[in-house]
Amino acid sequence: MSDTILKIKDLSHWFGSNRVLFEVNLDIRRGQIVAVVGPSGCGKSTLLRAIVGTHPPKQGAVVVNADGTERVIRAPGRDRGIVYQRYSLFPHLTAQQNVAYGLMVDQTTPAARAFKRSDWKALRRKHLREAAEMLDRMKLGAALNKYPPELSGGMCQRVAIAQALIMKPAVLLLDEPFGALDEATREELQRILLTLYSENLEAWAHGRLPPHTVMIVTHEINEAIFVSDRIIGLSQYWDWKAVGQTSSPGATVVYDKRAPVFSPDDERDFLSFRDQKDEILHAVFDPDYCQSYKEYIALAGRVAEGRRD
Amino acid sequence: MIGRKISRRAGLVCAAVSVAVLLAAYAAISFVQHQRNPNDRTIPTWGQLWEGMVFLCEQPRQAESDASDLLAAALAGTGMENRQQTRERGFLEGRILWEASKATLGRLAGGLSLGVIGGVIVGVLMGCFLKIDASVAPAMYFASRIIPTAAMPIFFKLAGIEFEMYVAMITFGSMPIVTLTVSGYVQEFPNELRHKAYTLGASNAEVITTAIFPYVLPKVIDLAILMIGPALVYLIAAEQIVAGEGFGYRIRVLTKATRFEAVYPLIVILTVYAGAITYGLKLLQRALCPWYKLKGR
Repeated sequence: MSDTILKIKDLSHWFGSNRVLFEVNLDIRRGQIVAVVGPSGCGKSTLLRAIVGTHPPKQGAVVVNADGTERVIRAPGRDRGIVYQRYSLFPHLTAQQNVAYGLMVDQTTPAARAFKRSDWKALRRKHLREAAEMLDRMKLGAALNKYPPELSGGMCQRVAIAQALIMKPAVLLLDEPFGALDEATREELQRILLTLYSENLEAWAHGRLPPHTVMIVTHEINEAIFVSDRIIGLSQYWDWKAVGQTSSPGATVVYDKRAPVFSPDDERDFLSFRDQKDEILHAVFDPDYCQSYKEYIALAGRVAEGRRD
Repeated sequence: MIGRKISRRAGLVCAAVSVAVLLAAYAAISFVQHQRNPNDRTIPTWGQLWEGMVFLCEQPRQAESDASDLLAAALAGTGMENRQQTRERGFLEGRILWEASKATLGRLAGGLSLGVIGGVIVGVLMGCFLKIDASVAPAMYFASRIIPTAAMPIFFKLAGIEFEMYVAMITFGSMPIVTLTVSGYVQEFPNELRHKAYTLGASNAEVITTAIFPYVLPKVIDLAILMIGPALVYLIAAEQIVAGEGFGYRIRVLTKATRFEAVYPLIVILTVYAGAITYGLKLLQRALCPWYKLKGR
């Protein structure tokens, strides 16, 4: 099975005369935790929506290879899980029911639920048990029967991650996951993401396929470097004249490098990667610095290995 | 300070005071009126109201007579024979209040249920599929502006003057408003939740039935509560014109006979019914949507 799980090919997008993304090319490998950073308005969320499938690109394509078969994305689908900044939990379902929701709609049909009541009841019990186990992993065992309005922001975020993870998506997409959280909860969430990566490392060590591939869209550089193993910088500040453009054609990938890998138990020391942070600030966020197209793309042409020994 | 909370006890005291003021004001007006004219029945005393209430509860209905005859019969002491008939027909059957309640509430339930259920089905489809919205919304807007009481002669002509006509009129009066409002609720359903449902594997039908409908259900129940008032307006107006039974009919004939001691209780009982339906729907909302009134942290 190919190691590339998500391929973005020459993706461009615009809204009317507003050019947002220009020829974005990315290969995401199975098991990577990739952070996409960039200044406001650079099209991070547009890229994410193109991957989710709610806003297919005007040009280019997003291809997912979940099970050895490449599939061009045109609509939201089961192989991509999404966690939004504002959690987006179903308010009429408890935490446990929210997590079990995907199992229900994925494994049964409305007709089966209506007409095969005894089968459905048994399956429902199984789904709820699995949801409870998943929430327990997220340290939410005591909140199974609480509705979203009764949960704190951090708890809602963890329920949303559990809701996506239980479906074992090919790629888990996180849209500004730290944005609405207080400092303590942000750190808790970062530890959860590092735990996912450590599960990948364990799988690699035992010769199994890594279970989690994650793409995080954020503007928080410290958090991005801390939780990911690869940083992608998307920016509208680049030398587009060098490629024959007369006006800005939109943002593109201007930075693509590995990030240091931490374990969930490591101390959170943002100073330890200050040099990379400064480099990203310069290469991605500085409007006065128009770099060459591929100056900071260390991984271009030889797809990031993803795996950390 | 604006918006400051009050205790439950203080709330109950305020409510009791307002009711007491209302009753005291009525008693004062009735007293003044009876000082001027001791035989007045337009603003009855508490005693007269009690008599009217007893009349509504105890006097068996004589199907073909009108209210003034009923009152005359009651006052002439023919109640014993009627009571005998009542026993043969069942305890409640034939009593004015029972018969009027059966007729009015049956029509209200039929019309309102059809209007709300039909409105919810069309409204959800309009909110979910914008082609349906574009096709149906103009007609619904037009229909929602038609005043059903003004169009009553058309209903009499098309649907007769039986049960179906009342149901059709209430349905016609409530469904367009319910449809447009529910369509608006559905369009307010967060896009992110819709997209998430798809990423979890839901089909269109499942997004509608397991995500959108439960999300709008408590608002639909609130809407049904709001529609009770207009539905009763249409119904009572129609009953006053063409019905042979029901609250509207009873109010009309008793007013004609200037027996306001029975009219006032009828109006109060109708209000109590509306309040009871509202309370019942609130209980239903609490049972079906326990999450709805939860306060965020």
